[in-house]
Amino acid sequence: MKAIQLHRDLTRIWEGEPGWRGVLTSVSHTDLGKRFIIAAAVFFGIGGVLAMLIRAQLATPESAFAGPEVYGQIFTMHGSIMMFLFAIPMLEGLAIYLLPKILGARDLAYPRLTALGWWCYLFGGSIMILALLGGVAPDAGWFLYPPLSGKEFTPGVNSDVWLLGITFVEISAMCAAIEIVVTILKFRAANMSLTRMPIMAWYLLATAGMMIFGFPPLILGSILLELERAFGWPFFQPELGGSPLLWQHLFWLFGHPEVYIIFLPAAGALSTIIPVMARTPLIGYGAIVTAVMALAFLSFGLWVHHMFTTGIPHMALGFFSAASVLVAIPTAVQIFAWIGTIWAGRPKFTLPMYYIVGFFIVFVLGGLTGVMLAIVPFDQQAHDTAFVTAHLHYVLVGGFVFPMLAAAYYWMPHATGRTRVMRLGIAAFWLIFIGFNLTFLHMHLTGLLGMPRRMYTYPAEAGWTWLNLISSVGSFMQAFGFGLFAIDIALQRRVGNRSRRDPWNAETLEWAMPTPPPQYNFASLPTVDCREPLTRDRLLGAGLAAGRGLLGRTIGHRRETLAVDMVTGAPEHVAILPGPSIVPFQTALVIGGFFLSMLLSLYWLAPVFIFGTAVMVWRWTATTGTTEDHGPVDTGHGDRLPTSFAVRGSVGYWGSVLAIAASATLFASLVFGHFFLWVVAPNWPPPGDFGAYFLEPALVTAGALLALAAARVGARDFARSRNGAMISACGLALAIAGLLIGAIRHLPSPGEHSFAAVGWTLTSYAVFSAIVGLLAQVFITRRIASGHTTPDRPHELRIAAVWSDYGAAVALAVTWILSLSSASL
Amino acid sequence: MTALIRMISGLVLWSIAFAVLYALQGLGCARGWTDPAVFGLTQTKAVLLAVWAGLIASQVVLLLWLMRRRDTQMERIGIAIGWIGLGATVITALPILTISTCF
Repeated sequence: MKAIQLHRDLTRIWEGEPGWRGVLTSVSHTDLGKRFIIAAAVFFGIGGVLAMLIRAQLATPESAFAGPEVYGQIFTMHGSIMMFLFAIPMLEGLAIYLLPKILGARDLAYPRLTALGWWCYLFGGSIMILALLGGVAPDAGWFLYPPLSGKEFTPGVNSDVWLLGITFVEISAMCAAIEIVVTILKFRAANMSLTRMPIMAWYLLATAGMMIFGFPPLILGSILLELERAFGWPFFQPELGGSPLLWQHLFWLFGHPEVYIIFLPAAGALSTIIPVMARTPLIGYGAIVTAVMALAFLSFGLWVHHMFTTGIPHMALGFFSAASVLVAIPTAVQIFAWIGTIWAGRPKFTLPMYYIVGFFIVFVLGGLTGVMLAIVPFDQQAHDTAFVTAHLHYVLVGGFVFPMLAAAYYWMPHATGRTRVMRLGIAAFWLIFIGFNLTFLHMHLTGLLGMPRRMYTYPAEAGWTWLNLISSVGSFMQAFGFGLFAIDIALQRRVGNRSRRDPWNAETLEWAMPTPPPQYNFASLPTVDCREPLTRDRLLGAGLAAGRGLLGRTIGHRRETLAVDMVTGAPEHVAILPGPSIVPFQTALVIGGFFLSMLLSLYWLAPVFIFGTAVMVWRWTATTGTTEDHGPVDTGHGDRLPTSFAVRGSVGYWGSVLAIAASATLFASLVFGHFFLWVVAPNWPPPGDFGAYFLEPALVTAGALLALAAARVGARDFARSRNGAMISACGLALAIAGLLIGAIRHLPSPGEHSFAAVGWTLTSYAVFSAIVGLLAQVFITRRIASGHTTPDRPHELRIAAVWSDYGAAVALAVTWILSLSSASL
Repeated sequence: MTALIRMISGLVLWSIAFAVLYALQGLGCARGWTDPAVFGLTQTKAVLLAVWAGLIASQVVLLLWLMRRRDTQMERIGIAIGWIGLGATVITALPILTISTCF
């Protein structure tokens, strides 16, 4: 009876609002994860239809099916949708749905941020699709190289749709990345040390870390290209000191890690599913963690292998060629660990295993052609041919789509509580597997025979006709396979028989809850002492449902979960999470207003939406926290822990640190751009008189040091914290004034030369960072006055300090970079 | 957090090494530092060799430091990553020995 009451209470606390308002206000990670997955699948369908159009066009020579303009939009949108609207959001959806469940938590670290990410993804993706329907979709290739994507060669809004739509979607990716890292590090089951985590969590930790450092260069590149297109700031125009190679560096600094960002979560799914199917523990847990970390880092040293034909000196090509070959080793470690696990176990050849075998064949072939392309002379022969198209599809379909199809069948009983009804899945597999190889295996040959990528037609005498025709036939076979898969999944969802809990006899905690899962995941939270808690205790789920774990009770309407020490997993505090809110939806609408005003060239309107976004963020943060002292709370076994309001290392602090790390990466990329153009681009130095100036840098330095010192004083002594925050805000205001005066007095107009364009961009970034820090300190003075921040609830002080410290540090760095650059010209 | 950073330190150092060597090579070539300096080596190549040697030495020192503690699995993974960092620093910069600097 007590257990039933507990479930009723938890349902009351964790359920969303009813009706359409509930759709808009939901912050449930289960619901939002499913939305991400379904939306990504829909985008995959759209991208798939575009792929069919490509193959229809190329099936015969001199085809009249589509002209070059339309074909440009089709292949550009196919690539962009598959990379940005399918692959990344699909992995985000999987992580959002699964992560708290495998870690033994009730929710993610920032439920409202999850909702914001969802709405940004939906709105940004919708902009792209509407542009496609309107015939103004991007058409300069999915990596949008200038000068083709610049105003001169793409005068319409096509490139703007890509730059603004994708950047809108990337907000979602950054939200998810921060969410994933903090959730893994803080929201785990009691005593789940890092090395007791399910292997999937290591993969997601590495992936999210890569996203935090990998996406900012692309976001920066998109901002710069949009500034060039909208206002004529010449970052990529050689005649004014810019360089198109800067775009390629920024794009591929993101673009190559992106391949591993897509692959690693899929590999995590494989490392989870294979031991279950093989009925034996995963071989080489430590070796796999090591390999995953190696991949996460080494994959950042490969980006120039997409630029082997751009004239970069051979020694530099050698660095990247060596790194590109090296990265095969940690990949192989995982492959051998999986083969070893299957070898050591008693594998069941169930449907997920079909796709796993398909993965092995397709991905290994893609990896081998990857090693071929890592060798500079070969790459120079095969560059921009259909060989590369074949290679990338073997890697991405093999390394992501096949594992995701296995994952879909593996976790469907969890999401729906139902089993498969028919054997359609087997037929779907064979159609997809045979169709895929029929499409792409001999496309390697098509490329080696000289067929370039992205061409809309070819002459009959080129000798590529039969190869292309076979590819087209194969692609339609594949499409039928995906159609059957979709029908199979829909049937399971609608008419499948009820599945028992944990139908696979799996090892991880997501199977220790009722299926489909309740909004709160676990009625009480587990304590673990090994990596396979369900293997150790098959009745764990029943015990948790009966309330015998931690936090197996409710307090008012509080949404509680456990926060632990990052490394050991020792319980640290009880995190209190926010409930349903319309604010994320409204915030996404306002951000969307900014992107639309830029897209429609209503530049005068854009600042209104920037101000609106600041107001929404202020409103958002103002609704957090409490003015009541909760004191330590009982966790259910006699232990008492403080709440998240009373600790200094709250998830809010760590989220801020990671957001700043991402922002700092964008800043570092911009500084790299500054020096890259200076050193490499033609038409330097810029015309005009430059010289040393120190007055404004001195002003900025004084303001920044004041801000840093005042924040330190406030953090040490609460009695002086309000004054400290005010002085810190004044220091930042002084720094902002110094930055602006320095730029106005010493920088030429940004349209004159890339030096001025980068200088103004650096200044704008520094002013923006300092304003954020200033607002954080003003906010904290209000919170002290309102009683939210007290000596017993100090966590917001630390969060404000880290933002103002960063603003001050950036102001210092930018003023001296510009001053010393000006002196050196 | 410190334990996690310690665990990945070998690859963090490799990242720094890779970025420094690539930047130095690009800078040297762009500035035309191609005159013979010592032992018939160009200025850029001499600097690259010296910096590379220093970075390898740093990786060795880091690895020795990591190897002082191997009680937990994270510490053992950290040692393995230290070896990977050292190996990657040697291998990815091998073209310094074999390829002309700026052509």
